[in-house]
Amino acid sequence: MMNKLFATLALVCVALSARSEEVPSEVSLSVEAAMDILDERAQNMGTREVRFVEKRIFPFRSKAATVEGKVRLSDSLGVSIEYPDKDAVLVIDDEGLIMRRLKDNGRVRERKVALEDAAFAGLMASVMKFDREELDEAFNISVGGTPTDWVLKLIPRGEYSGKVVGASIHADAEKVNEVRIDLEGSREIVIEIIEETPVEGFGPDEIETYFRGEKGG
Amino acid sequence: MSRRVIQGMLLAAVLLAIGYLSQVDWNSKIEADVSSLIPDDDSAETKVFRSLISDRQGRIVYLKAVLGEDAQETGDLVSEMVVKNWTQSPIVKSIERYDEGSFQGFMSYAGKHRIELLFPEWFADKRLAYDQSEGDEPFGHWLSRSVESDLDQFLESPEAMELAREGIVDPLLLVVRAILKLEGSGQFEGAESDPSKVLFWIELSESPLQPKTQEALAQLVSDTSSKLAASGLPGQLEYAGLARLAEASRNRIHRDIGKVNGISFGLVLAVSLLLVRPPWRLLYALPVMGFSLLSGLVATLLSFNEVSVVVVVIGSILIGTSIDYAFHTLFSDGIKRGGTRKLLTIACGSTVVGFAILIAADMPVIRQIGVFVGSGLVGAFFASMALPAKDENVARMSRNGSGNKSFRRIGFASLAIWLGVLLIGIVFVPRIQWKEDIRNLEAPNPSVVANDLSLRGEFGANASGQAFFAMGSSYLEALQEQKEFLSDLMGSGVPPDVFSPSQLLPSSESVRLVAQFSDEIPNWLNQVEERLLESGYEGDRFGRFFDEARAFASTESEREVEDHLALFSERLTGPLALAMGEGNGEAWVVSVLEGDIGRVDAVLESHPSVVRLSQKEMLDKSLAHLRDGILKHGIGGMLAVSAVVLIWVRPRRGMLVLSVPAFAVLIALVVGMTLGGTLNLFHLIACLLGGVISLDYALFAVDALDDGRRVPFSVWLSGATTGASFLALSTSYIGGVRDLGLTVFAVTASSLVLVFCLQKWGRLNLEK
Repeated sequence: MMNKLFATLALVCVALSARSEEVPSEVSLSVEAAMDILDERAQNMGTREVRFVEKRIFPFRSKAATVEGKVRLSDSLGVSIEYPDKDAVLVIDDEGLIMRRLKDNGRVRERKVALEDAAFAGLMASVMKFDREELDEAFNISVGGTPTDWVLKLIPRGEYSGKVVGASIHADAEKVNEVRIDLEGSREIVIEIIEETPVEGFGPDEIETYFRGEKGG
Repeated sequence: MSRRVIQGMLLAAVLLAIGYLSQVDWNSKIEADVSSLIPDDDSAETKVFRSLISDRQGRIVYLKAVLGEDAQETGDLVSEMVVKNWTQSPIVKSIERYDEGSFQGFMSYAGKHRIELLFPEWFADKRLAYDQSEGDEPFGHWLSRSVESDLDQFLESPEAMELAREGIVDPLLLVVRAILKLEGSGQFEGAESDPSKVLFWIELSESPLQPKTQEALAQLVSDTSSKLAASGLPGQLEYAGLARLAEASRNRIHRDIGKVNGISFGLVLAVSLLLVRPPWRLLYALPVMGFSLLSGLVATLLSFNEVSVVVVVIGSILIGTSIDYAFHTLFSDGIKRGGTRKLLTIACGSTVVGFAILIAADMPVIRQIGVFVGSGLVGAFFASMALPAKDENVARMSRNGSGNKSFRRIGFASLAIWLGVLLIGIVFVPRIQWKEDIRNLEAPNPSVVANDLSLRGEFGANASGQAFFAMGSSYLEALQEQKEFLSDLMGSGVPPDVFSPSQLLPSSESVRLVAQFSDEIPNWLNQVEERLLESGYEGDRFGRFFDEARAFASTESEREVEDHLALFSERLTGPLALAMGEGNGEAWVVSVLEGDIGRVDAVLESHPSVVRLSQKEMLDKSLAHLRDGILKHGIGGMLAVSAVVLIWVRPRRGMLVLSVPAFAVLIALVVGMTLGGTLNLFHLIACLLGGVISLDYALFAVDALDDGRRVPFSVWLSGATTGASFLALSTSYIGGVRDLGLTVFAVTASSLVLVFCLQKWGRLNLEK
């Protein structure tokens, strides 16, 4: 479940990073302005890869578990999150979320990750498309900090699925640096963006490995 | 005994039979399920299969309510109404809404009792890994490192954020390991998340094979739909399960009986009207047919608690064969005075001997066919004795003065036919390929079967892979059997896409291992706990778990673990409910294997408590087993029939008589192989049946020919009506009935052709 949320916020994060250079430093940033940026970014979203480091914090462990990953984004194929060290790929697209694991015997096992309820599925779709209306409906959004070091805070309205307590997106004038997701049970995910690279498209092998179908990259 | 006495006795018998039949509860007497096809043996396969169809697993109903556009709002209301409505029904034992939560819901029991259910196997696995590592590190130290490494790796895995939460995670990852194993096997997907439908998992309190249960279920679905509609709620209901399949099969077979019998009767009547002069003489045959069916039905119902509907379908062949006895009595011109009764006695005796073989079969349905057809023909024989025999009159009508001449070259004709039999036999018999398919016995409604598969799929049932059932006197024993089987099959490295409860749940061996180290385990767990504390894992969170684990290891008993396994099994829902169960004092667990498991047959041989079981494969094997038995007994029976014939009609005539069915059966087998590529049980039964029918024709024909007369008209009439009757069976939905009909038709037709040739040959070779 957290993977879906992570994917959502990773997408937001990438969207922000792509356009963060356009944030005018001399003007204080409003929620509307931040959302405009995301909105515009969503309209022009291109194909890209983003490397990140994910830290997972659990209440029963004093130090975080750290794992590296790569996000692949495509207008037509959706979002794919790869954990190379774990032989695992998450695919999030219009049809929902699937997890692929490369097994010890060389075979690939794919399974659907169940969506807890329709509200979350709807929200997923909204974020994929950056449906501003839906996002506004699901979260209370606020912005803090200065135009060169700002935080977009998302607090779920009412009972939000996925056991998410809140989330925040940390950015500076140049790019988004970090996404934090707070979960029930005192758990937290911190995603640090390392590098973002635009790509021409994904080849057939990449599409087969990292996305659901052959819809063209 | 005079005809009047016989007629009186028959009338009394008819009245008794009608009195008996009027009080029969047909719904409970006639069964339309596959249980009568299962052998009455004590094999592990049979036990599992009976348990599957008659115990909890067969009682499951899959129910889906399809919602409309406002699914989000109405789903809970629909669910509430369906559950309320079904809970009140006496045929429903339990009903629960089945959703994503249900898939992991079973883990709530396992979660609460994780130590009793999951610790022993975890410990056994660790112990095995330690032994294989061959290091000199003390086990406690090695275990501490291993547990820490497992925890670190899990927390870095993509699944960690889903599963590393309270209620699931523990320091040994017992429940996490179980969930990952289940999901990783791919055999059990959760219910699909789809807000446009609500799924329900239902267990019936009554047998799904009983028509009254099936009818009550259909009524319940209909009533619930009406109530939903009356309340303005959406909810088109669809249901599946054994009860639905059995009901659809029964309905289709019922229709088949009507159709086949109708066509059969129509054809017999048409042929008879065409050939019999004056046609009204046919009316004499009706009491014989009626008494024959009555005898067959009453004898079978009295002999068996339940009679398969398949038997009743096949019983329709009696229409064709019992009328023969009437025809032979009424139209046996050319037979000497008194000869008809003698020939009919031989014919009936040999037929009954032929069918008596079937009574020795270990499959109820075949025994029932034996009793039904055998007693029906005996009934026809007695009923025919009440008719005026044609031979009494014909004896005075010597034909063209040739009555005293005999068939001069009968030995040559006989030799020629037997040579033909030998030749065809040598060429053909080695090419015979037997292949059984249970679908030959079913009349599945394709749309109902498709609906069943589709609905089961929505509950997450995965049809791929092969299921292996391990049996034992307890769950611990069954799990031990499964573990040993898998170990022999694949060595210690069981591929990850194997689903096997024994990889998680305790076996008798792992429980004994914990008992063996009961003194050391608390100490080893202390070391693990200390190591985790040193590595940054907080003691408070895991402390209680370690306390419980230490206590369990010190006091563990097989009885306690077995009880937990039984309770756990009862709580399984959805496809997982098929993973383990118990019945008839035996427990069984299922493992599902995918991919190439080539040497499984050899491994199965050394594990008699493990069986590969698919319903189809099980029944196909049963049919093949049955066919082998019938073939063996059939050959013996036919030899006995042959001996009777040779003695009774003398060897010279006897050899010619026997050559006719032998030749005709062989031709029919060649036809069957040519049409279908392989032969099956029904071809074999048809050959036995056709063999005894054509033996009758040969008896009458040779008797007449050898006396220099024409073949009696009754032979042609019987052949034509029997052929027509069996041809009607070829219109059945049921593959086996079609095979049977066509084969008997082929035997009949070829025997008539042969008799016709003999008549031509005989007329050319009469003694001058």
